Amino acid sequence: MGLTYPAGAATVSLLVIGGYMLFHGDGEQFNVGQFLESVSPYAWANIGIAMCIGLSVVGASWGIFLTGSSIVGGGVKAPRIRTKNLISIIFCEVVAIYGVIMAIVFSSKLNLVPDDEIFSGSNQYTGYALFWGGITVGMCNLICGISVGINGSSAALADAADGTLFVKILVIEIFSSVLGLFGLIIGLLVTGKALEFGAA
Amino acid sequence: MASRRGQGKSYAEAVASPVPEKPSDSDVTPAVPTNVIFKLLGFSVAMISLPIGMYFIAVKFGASPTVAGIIAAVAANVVLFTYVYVAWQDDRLEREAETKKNNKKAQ
Repeated sequence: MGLTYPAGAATVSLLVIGGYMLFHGDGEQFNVGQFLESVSPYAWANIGIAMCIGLSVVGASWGIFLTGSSIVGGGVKAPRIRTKNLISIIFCEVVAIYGVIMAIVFSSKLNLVPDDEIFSGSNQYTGYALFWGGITVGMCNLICGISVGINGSSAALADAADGTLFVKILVIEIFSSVLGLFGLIIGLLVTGKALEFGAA
Repeated sequence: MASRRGQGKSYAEAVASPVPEKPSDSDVTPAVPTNVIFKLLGFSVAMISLPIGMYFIAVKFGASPTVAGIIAAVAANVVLFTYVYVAWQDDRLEREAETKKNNKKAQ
């Protein structure tokens, strides 16, 4: 475990700084609420958008690399790559497209507002909604992409062994690709009520 | 190793002379037919451009971003299931051709 020493050093330094501030009468500076309030809603919104597209692409590419290596490996036994063998690739690609769509929907809420208006309640809400909506969509798509990838890899190997098995496994693959849609729906619902920056 | 060169020809001559063509036993037809590759490429492009295009068209016609997002997700799934249908159709045709060939062989 190469992370033991850095984690220990971080804990010790946090304890030392925290103890120093606590015993010198500055303990009230540990204020989670103040931290949450003082971070700009722009930062929350943009981190959410970045997480949405980034985690989705990680999931999709993870799935494609699992599937692709199995297609190539199974091709050694059954060197007939047909359209049906590449279905799994398209299934993984759609996961990335969900992330792109949601990132575009989220970024339509971004707007420049004058300096002192950014911390209004409506803008705070939009910032948090985009942040947690983006995390929701990104995480769902990450897991969905891995799930589709592992299913697709099994489908490729099963098809290499016996061509009639493919359709049965494809049904299961459709079920795992629906998981990404759940995250997309919730992401749309969470940000649906959020107004654009500066709209209120 | 030295004995391999002693065939009356220098190494340079052996390289320069044309290799005698002999029929190869191995199967050299490409493993992935061209139409499969073009089908995948075409559907990939459609998968990227159709949902995003539908989103911007829907926004232009006055839909809210949420509704436009739903339309785009539906468009992505339409492309996906069109590909599944095309693949299924290809598979069926191929299977039929194979059984026909087998029947002919059996007669």
